Amino acid sequence: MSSPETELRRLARSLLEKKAVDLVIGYEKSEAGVRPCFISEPNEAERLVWNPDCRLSLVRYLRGFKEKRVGIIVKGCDGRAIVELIKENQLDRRSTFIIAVECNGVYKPVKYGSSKLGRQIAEYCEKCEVRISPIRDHLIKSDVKALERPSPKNDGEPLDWLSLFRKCLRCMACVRSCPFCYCTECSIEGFKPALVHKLVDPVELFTFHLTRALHMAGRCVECGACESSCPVEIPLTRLYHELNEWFREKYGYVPGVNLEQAPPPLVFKEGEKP
Amino acid sequence: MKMFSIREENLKVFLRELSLKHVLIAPFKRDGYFEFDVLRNPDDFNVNYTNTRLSPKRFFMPQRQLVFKHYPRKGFTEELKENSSVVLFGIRPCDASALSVLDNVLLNPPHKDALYENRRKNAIVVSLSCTKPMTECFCNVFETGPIRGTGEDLTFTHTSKGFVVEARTQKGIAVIGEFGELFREADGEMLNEYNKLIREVLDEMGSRLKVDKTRLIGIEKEAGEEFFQLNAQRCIECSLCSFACPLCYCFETEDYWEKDSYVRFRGWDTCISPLFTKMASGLDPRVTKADRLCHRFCHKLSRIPLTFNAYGCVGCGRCVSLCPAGIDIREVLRKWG
Amino acid sequence: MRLTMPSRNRHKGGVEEMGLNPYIPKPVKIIRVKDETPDTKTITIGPKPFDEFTPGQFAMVTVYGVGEAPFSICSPPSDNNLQFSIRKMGSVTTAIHEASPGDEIGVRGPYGRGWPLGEMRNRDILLVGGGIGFAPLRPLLLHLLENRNKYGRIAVCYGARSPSLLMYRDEFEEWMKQGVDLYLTVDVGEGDWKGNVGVVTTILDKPSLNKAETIVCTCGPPVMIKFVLKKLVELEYSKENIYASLESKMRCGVGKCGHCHFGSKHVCIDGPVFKYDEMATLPKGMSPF
Repeated sequence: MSSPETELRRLARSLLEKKAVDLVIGYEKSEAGVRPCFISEPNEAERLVWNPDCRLSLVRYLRGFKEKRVGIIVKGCDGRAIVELIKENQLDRRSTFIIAVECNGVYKPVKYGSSKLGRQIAEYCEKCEVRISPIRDHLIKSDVKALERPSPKNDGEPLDWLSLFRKCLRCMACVRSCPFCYCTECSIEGFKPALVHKLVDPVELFTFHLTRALHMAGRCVECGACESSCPVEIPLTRLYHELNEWFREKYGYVPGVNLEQAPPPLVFKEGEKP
Repeated sequence: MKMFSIREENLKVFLRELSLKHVLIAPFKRDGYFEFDVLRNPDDFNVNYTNTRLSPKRFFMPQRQLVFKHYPRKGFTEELKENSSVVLFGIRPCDASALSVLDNVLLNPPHKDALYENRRKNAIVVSLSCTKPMTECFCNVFETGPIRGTGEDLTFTHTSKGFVVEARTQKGIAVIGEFGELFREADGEMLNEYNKLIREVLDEMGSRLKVDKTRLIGIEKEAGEEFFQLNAQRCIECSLCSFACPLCYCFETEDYWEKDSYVRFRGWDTCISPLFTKMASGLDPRVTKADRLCHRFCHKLSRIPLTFNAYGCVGCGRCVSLCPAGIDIREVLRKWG
Repeated sequence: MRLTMPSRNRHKGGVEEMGLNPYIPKPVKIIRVKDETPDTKTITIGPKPFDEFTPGQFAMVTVYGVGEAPFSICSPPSDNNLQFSIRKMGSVTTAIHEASPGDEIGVRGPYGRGWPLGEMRNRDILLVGGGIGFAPLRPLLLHLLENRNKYGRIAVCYGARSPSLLMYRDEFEEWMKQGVDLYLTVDVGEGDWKGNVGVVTTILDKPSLNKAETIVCTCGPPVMIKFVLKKLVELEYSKENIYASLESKMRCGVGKCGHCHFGSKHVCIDGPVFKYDEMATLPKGMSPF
């Protein structure tokens, strides 16, 4: 059996040769690790890689190619994001060719000046139960054993969110890397009178993160794009996970697993209390 | 400049003495990363650190800073002056060099940036040489490190027999004079080790990335649109690169009413934002993401050099390491440097 | 963490008094507000917060609590007050439109490089304006008229989208009386408009001037500047003598904030008035070529 990487390259090449898609969004090797790449020529398909450093969800890039037929490489969580986006009318399923790759978890990024040694599986991957995208046109099986997953830590210990949020620079990397933050103008930025000011006021960071958290409840697929992009490593996915759990208990809804089930906030039921 | 030395065990004494007279800021470890903060206990200082994740720029250009308060009823404007003396100890040469670039830009006459000047005047910058540069670093390209930077008052270099200390400015000489009993002239043996260290580290870095800086002036024409368009596809338009950069100085202002006065704050802005050059009329000289990315690179490598006679990058590698989309300024350097 | 202890430093603002901080605006009062066109008002403020300036320079105007924006000074240097013609566009301009005489605003300046008065001595001068772009040309024109004998012939080509959008209409007659060759045009005629209809480039050939020696100053929307420059070269005006005033977003006005840094030039200190060949070096988007 060939490695997933070889299979991925072969598939991308043939899709581009047959002109089934205009471009394939995948990952390529870079000097500092792995980065997104956009391939439109069949012979460029050799650049594609697949390894546990492929952490940034590529789904956020789909909104830049609305007129094109796009092949996209997705992990389990990214596939769930696509399901949610289709339900929110943000994505045309017919113009998207979904290449699902079985995911064994991704590594936590090692950021500038880190003194930690060795690679660690990301915390959000420890909780993950959907390793293959629920929606796909092609499946590439993994040949390696799943990365060793420590048993999920007990989240009982509450985090000091206030001091975590105080570290925030409001660089918007969490917003910009998120598959779901597709608003052309973020409600946090474009509000008048300003809900959150242009310049960072430490007090408002809490407003900013809570507003964002509320928008993510019942939608977040815990792909960790925000958390891994964050320069100060605020464990945002943990916050959104809590909200998702609450959402599941209250509405029996898990985002991104079932294309048929409508998201509860989009459904009006008679007699429903606000 | 004259070379001094200080014994390893005397460093803590020096730090303690400094912290009595000044606000002492130094890097110490927190959640697996080093960050600059007020150092209350000199024992917390650890010589073996790589670099701080975020740049020390915020001590000179805070992310949000009051410009003035205007009291409409009383009819006067008030600005805040900050007068306490700060020592920034253990800043890396690249970050110290960033301060000298900021000096070139913000203190360029005739209009000096008073807010920056005030903080800069009240600060003593002591750098600590990098003897083991990180993989992301490329300070050798701009001659901003790894042993000596360009913006510091004192340079400390760790050798096997203690620290070699070089006084770089009058301010630095004054500090040495003040704590005369802790310092002595560096002896020949120590200086030999110091010189050998410089050669070794520079050789190692030179083997990674060697660039002819003079060619960078023409980068804008040479790189062409295609290169920037390719990278712009990747760019997610967050402000991370600018906020992490030790010398991205562009700022935005904001006015509002607060209790009894009109206030104006200023704070970091980023040229990657689509709003950066967009005017109220809707006109925008830089419409596409590729234009903005081109500006970011060209501004650092050719536009700041042409205007202010200093390079707008010091090779600290923060943007390289932190960019979620893997946009890498070294790629530009390697291709066109 | 508070690093430094603030101490209070009270002053009445303005650059001289401060000596140091260029970012503090000087509070001044609005004296008059005049409707110039349906979307533009000319405000007069006084007393003048600074003594001398060159026509073509700009000042940063603060509406306290709202924001700050750069505006061309549109009154001549000899005037005791200062005027700005302001089109309603964003939050600051809207706030100015809502202001009335007696209100306080903040002004700092003058900033930038104005029109090249030194070069103009004894030469013919052509001013080409479009819409609100006439604002930086008006102080130049009035200054030239005040010192009429020092300069050659003066011609003005001025266009706007419609007759009602022509600014300073009540002054046209006075200008012509003082010997200005005034040519007007509008993109779309309306009402009793009997003049030329068409863009401003269609009337550029009308003034009879010593083309090789004439200094040309132009300001208007970027697309107009682009075609005016092209036409001027076609008409054999010397590139050496062509100047245009460009606009850009600004926050500081003194070359620090980075918003108007294009190529190796800052619009706020190297401009807003640029020479023909300087404009050619500006990057795409900012360059009118």
